[in-house]
Amino acid sequence: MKTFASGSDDTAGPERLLVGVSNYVVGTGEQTLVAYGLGACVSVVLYDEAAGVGGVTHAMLPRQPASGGAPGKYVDAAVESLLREMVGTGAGFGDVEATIVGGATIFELQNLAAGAGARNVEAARDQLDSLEVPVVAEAVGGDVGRTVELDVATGRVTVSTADGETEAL
Amino acid sequence: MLDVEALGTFYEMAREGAELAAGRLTPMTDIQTRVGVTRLDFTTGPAIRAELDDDVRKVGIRVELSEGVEGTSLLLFDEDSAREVAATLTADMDEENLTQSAVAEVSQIMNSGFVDGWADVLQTEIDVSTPEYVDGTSPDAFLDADDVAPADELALVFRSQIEAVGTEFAFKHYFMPERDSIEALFERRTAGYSLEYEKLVGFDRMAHRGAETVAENLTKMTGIDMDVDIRRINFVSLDAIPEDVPAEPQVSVAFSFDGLPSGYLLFLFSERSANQLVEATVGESTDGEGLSAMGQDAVQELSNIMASGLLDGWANLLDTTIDHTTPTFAHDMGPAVVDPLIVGLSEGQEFAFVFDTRLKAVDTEFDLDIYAIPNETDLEAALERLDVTNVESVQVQAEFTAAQGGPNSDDLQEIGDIEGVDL
Repeated sequence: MKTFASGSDDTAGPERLLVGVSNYVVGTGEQTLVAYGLGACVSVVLYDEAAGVGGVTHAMLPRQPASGGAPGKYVDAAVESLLREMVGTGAGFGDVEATIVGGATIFELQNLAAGAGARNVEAARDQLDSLEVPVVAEAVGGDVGRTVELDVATGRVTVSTADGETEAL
Repeated sequence: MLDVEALGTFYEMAREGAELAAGRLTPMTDIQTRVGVTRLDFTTGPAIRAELDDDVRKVGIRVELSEGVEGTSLLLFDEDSAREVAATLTADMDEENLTQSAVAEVSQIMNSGFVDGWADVLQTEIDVSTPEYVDGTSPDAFLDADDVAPADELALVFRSQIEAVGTEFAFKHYFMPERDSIEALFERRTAGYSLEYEKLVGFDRMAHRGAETVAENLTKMTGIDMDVDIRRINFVSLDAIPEDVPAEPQVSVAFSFDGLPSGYLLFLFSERSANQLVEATVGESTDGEGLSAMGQDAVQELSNIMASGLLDGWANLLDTTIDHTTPTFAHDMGPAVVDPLIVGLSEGQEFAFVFDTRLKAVDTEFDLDIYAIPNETDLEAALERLDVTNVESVQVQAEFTAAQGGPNSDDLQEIGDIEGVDL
């Protein structure tokens, strides 16, 4: 048994691993990766079916500044770091597919950076395009919060909302 | 002076310690753990005592630290969790003293995890006293009278929770550093920007009075007898704030405010509480159908009145102007409604002071969480203007603007008149 906190973890066993804000997690075997309560934040789910390796990001801002910063916080850096770690765990670079979830506008507030969610989604699409990872599904935008789960054993991605709706992507 | 960069270091220290402590619990007990909420709280002795006074028996250890950092470290398992831990170590042996020695041993090893984490971050050595086993249901079992600050002072308290995956495991850690020791650590830091401790204390006292006024107004408007349950200032990493709000759907009203300081204000009602509020104010029963448009308006406008009360109190004390937006409503998962606000702040700062207030009904299950999250540099500038001698004389009064499409100010004034509230 191993402790998990908030960073990457590749522990085997039937576990639910939480992907906190500004983090990304690689999963294998029977693990389920969960990012709760995405508002304007974006999760990118990456999965290699043949290798049985998956990963989920939970990023707040679209692009990492030149000065750096924790990669998990930025959509572009989180996707790149996650892909690299998945390849290190056995995924094939050309075999990974992506799902993008989140990027909603929960509140319309004057001071809140307008379109923060949309910019996060755009950054995810751009980065996946430049890394040549195909996007197979999206649940983005709108005004609802979302929770995304990846069942690594099956590759099933489910998105649930506060009204009790659950959708398999 | 409170150096914000130093507080950031302390926060990392708390998190590092909690992760090392959790990491040491797991291999000993085979209980799969994770670090829950870690926070630096500016709080008072009575508030900590109230939190420990919950009729749940807790066992653990109390340790005094010295040298690199001085203070009291308290590690507490809820009774059931302690049994679970002990059972993994003393299988087939149910003697009370075996449980005690198992818990003491596990606590001691976890404490050394915390201390090692802190020593790593502070690059210093920390001495640890012989642990004292503690066991009881009242705060006196765990705390001495002089452990934390009296009611009118704020103490910095490090708090961490460690949770087990899939069970109701409950473990809490408090570290209450000596004020002199914390001040010495601040002095070791080269200054980034900083806040004066006394001004934060003054601001907190004013905020407490503001919260009491809000509770009184809410009581008058709803007929539900309200009280201030929790009042604290937390210093947390922005990305940790969503972990600290309920995961369940919340009826939420958000504002942004502009001036000195600027920032965000968020009201979170549980669904049950929002329904009670609507029933009490506009007489509309939801019957489990969710809030109607009228119900939403009522929740927005009551939040608007409370927001005005809080922010006008701040503005009066700081002798500034703080404008706030009209309210915006969402009914969504707790973390999802906090998320846009932390995204809004995260471009300019990594940590935030969160002014966290919980109002609770005296005899029904009604509660309301109010989070005020100011922009960090604005808060610093605002506190520079604070005259701490002025705190007791400042008036907290409410002015408000109506939401678009909602009841207007005259309507609410009328409600206020009927309910006998001075708006």
